[in-house]
Order: sequence, then structure tokens, then C-alpha cells
Amino acid sequence: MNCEQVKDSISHYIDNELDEKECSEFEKHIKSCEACRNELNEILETVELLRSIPQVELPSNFKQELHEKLIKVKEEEEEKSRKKKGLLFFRNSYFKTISSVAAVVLIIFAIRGLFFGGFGFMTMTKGDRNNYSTGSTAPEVLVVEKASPRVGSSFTIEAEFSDKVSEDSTENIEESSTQDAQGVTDGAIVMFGTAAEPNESVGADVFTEESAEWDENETVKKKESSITDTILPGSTARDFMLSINPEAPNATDAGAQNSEEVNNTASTKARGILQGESFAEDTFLKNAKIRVKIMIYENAAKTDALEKVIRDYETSGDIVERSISDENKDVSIIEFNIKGSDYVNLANKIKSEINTSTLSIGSNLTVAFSNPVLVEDFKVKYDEYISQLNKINIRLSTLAEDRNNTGSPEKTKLIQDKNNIENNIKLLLDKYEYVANAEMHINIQEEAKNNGSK
Amino acid sequence: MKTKENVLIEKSKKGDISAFEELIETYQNKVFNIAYSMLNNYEDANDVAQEVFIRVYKSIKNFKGESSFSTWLYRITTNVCLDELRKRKNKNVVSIDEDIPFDDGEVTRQIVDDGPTPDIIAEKKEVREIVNEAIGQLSEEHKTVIILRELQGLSYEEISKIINCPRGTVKSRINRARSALKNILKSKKELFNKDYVK
Repeated sequence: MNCEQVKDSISHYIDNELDEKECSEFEKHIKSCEACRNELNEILETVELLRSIPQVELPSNFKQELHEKLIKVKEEEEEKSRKKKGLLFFRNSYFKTISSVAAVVLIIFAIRGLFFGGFGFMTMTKGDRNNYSTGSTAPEVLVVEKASPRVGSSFTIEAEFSDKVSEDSTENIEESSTQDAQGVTDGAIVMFGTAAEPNESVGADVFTEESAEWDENETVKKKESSITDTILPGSTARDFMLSINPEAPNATDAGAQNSEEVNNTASTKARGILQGESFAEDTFLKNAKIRVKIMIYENAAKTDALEKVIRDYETSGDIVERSISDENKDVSIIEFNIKGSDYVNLANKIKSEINTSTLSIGSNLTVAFSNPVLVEDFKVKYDEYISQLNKINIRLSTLAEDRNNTGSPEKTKLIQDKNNIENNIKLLLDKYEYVANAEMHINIQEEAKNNGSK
Repeated sequence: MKTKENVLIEKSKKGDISAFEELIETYQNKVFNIAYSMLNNYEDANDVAQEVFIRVYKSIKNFKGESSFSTWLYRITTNVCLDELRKRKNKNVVSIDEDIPFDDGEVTRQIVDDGPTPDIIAEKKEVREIVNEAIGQLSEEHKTVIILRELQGLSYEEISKIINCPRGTVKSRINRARSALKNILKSKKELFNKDYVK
């Protein structure tokens, strides 16, 4: 060993990280070389000094302070998850059951309206009634979220019960029914998609939008609007019907209800581009995580403020952040995982807010964000499953056209296969902390930079 | 012990605060000390350590047990600390020795000492301060490994998991960090009591 090698090994020697041979060579060199011996002793002293320092005590009120904060956080989280549970409940296969119950309730009120018309509800003014038929003062009952036109006819329906729903909605339905039982019935028809046109929004007061959980989405722009607005141009009530009337008539399980969406997944993939939006619409991937790496050049944006924006979305685990200082420029990196369905929204949010004082240090920043790219080995397996699903779906839709064939063994088997594959996909997704990578770059615009330097 | 920790983690995932508090009981002191040595300020260490545990509580449902809980916890701790240090870099720090200029002369800055009372700090206060200052002069990377290795006594293995670097990198980084720290301390040598530096 020469002096250079010995210097590089001092730490390893102290920590017992050298093997026997290295150790004896090291000791041999130390005995003969004074400079290295001094170096070793000084480092040893430093290490001993560091290790001699006692730990400081926790501040006396540390635990109490933390306890209070935890209780506050827990309350907030519970509030959040309460809202979300309501959403999930409706989104899943329960939708059919719930909507059937809702229909029965509506019909009961409608009938009640016919037979006991006016009973106890005569105080309502004409103005109020007009409000209801345009649906502009609708209570919170149902959320209808339209999927982006990219996917054509796929709609997802989200719903949430707000605290006051049980009172308000009942009241409103009753009022409407006494005034116009026919209108309410129309409303029920809209709900089940039997032939209502989108402009027939009588009774639309039972639908409204809820937005807290869906900020940044198309829905938010249409906050407080009626169902007429919710169904975007180019779509009809019949489209709306599709998603709640799965094409397989006897499909009762959640998997089969997704068939419409799965087909869309296939068509999206067939185009060969997995873009941010389509990621959000993919039945499976929208709930998977994307690993996002935000690179901030030259301290263009405030990382802490940016992290705050990120945390408004559901991110998993810790924000892994580190900064790399290149010789020429300073790059800060924030890395985190985000739900597939949230990525585009987050990117847009950052894009729209990047020049505000909270986020940026200067102005005239540019934001570039990439489309998520699937992790290679995940992609291979995932594509395989999707293509199997597609084959089954095609076969299933052929069978569905043949009316005599309902309940055939082949169909039962296909549905079973489909469930298996979907389960496999879920298992596959569970294995990956994230399934795709994406990058955002935040930089100072070249022009601004030049002006600044002049 | 391990299984007990797992039980506590599971309960914490469901939001059980008392289970969470039991879970972090043994780590609170370490987290606080890491923060204290990283930031060299008692008040800031308090804020940062609180922030760390709040973050951990919020995200524990995403903790999959791929690393040990302590590794995960220390990783969050160092990240929050480095974040705080970066924030400071951007802040305008005023010198407490500087006089405040006024139209009709200068006024000496009055500082309220809201730090810990003297009895909280051990008698080695002075040494600690010198060392903390020296650590403060290290680069972020060196600072982190020195604190984890020397002040917390963690193994190379653990450190490599916490800072997400290969073991070899950790080894050479610790070597360089010690050497850098030695040089900084050497220049402060005259401030030391002879007991500590020969």
C-alpha cells in the first residue's frame, strides 16, 4: 500500500471494514510512515470526539405538542377518507344496486306526488320551481363526471353523499313531485338512460356536481351547473347510459361491468401512445402510481411551495428530494409517486401556477412535462394481460349479440377467465411501487435569462 | 420486539394515535438529535422533528416494510432536514452582532434567547457547539453521513439504505467526510480544551 491508498482506507480501518490482508498491509505502512500515522491519529481523535458528544434531551413539551398535532391530522384524514369512501362506494359495482334503490325511491315519490298532489307543499313559489327545472340550485346528490372525449363513449359516474343529502334531496324530490310528477319520472329515466335526451333536464335537480375531490378536473369548471352542462357537447344521454348498463346483459360482477372501459383501454393502447390523459383513463393504471421526477433548474421555483402543491394530491410515501449541484448549474430534484389519474392534473396545476409568487422565485419560467413511460418489465406483462382481455371482450360482445346464447357455458367461462386476468393485473400492480416514470422540468426561459445577465 | 413493532405499524396505519406514539417512542430522541446536529439549532430541531413525525404518521399507510421502519424514518428525517437547510440558504439571515441602522444612528440588536435553558444542555456544551459548527460547514452529503455514522452510530449498511446510495459510495463518502471534518476542526483547534485535542 502506498500513502494514497492508506489515506483512502483510514476510515475503513477504523470501522473494521478491511479484510485481513489489507489490514496487515495497512498496519505495516502506518508503522513506517509518520505522515500517515499522524493522519490516522487525527481522524481517530475526530471520530472519538464526535462519539463522545452526548445526545441532547427532547424538549420537555415535545410529546405533548406532537400529540396535539397528530389529533388534528387524524381528524383531517378521517374527513378526507369519509368523503372518499362515499365516492368509491358508488363507483364500484354497488352502483347498480344503489341506483335501483334510488329509482324505487324516486318512483315512490312520484306516485305519492300523483296521489297526494299538493299535500303540504303548496307554499313553494313559481320562481322556486323554475329553479328546479333548470337545475341551477341543485343539492349535492350525484356527481357525473365525464371522461375525456379521447375515450369516446366511456363515462364514469361518481357519487357522494354529502351530510345534508338525506334531508335536502328528499325534500327536493318531494317538492318536485308534488309540482310535477312527470318531471321527476323523466329524471329517473335520465338516470337509467332509457331514451332521455340530454336537454331534458327536468328533474335534473337530483343530479349535481360535487367538486372537492375532483378539483382540476373538467368537473370543477362546471361546478354548480346542472346535468345538462355536465354532459359535454358531442355526447348524449345514450352514451351516459352505456356505462351503467354494461353490454354483457347477465354480467353482475364488477369485472364485467368494466368491459366498456377495458375496450377503451385496448383502443388507447392500440394507438401505441400512452399519454398522460390516457393513463388517467386506463381502468387499471389510473390507480397505479407514477414515479415523477421534477427537476428545477437554477432554483427557478421554490421547492417547498412546490412540494405543498404536490401534497395536495395523493402521493404515496415520502417525497424523496435531493439536490444535485452541477458545476455550472444548480438542479434540485423532487421525486415522488402519484396516482396515474392525478398526474396530468398535477402537471397542469404546476403549469398554471408556476409564475405565481408562491411558487416561483423569478418569473418567465417554462415547464415541460413528459408523458409517463411504463416501466419496461411491467409493460411486457401488462400488455400481455390486456391483449388477452381484449380477445375475451371481443368474443363476449359477439356472444352478447346472439340473444339465444345467454347463459351459455362458454360465456360463463369467458367471464371467469376475464376475472382471473383482472385479478392477475391487480396482483401485478401490487408488486410495483410505481409502474411508470415521468419527468417535469422547470427552468427559466432563455430570453429572461439573457435579459437578466445583461 | 420486531413483531411488536409490526403490530404497532399495522395499528398506526389505521390511524391509531396511541399505537403510533408507542411506535415512535424509542426513535423520538434519535430523530430529534439528527435534526439538532443537522441544523445546529434547538428550536429548528424541534420544528423539524415534529414535522418528520407528522409526515410519517400521514404516510405510514404507504409504508410497505421493504426497508425497516427505522431506515424509512431516518430517511424522512434527513430529507426534511436537508429541505430545511435549503430553505435557510434562500432566506436572508441577519447577523445578531450587526447594528440595526436607523436614521438617527444605530441601535444594537436585542435578541430574545428562547433557546433551551442552560441546565438542559450538558456541560460539554461548548465542545458540542464547536463540533456542530464544524459539521455545519460540511457539504450536505458529508454532513448526513457523519451524523448518521458518528452521532447515531449507524452501520454502513443502514446508512446506504437511508440515503439510497450503494455501500461503496457510503464508504468513500464517510472517509472523505471524516477527513474534511478533521481539517475543519484542526483550524478551530485553539478553541478546544486540551482534553479533546492533543
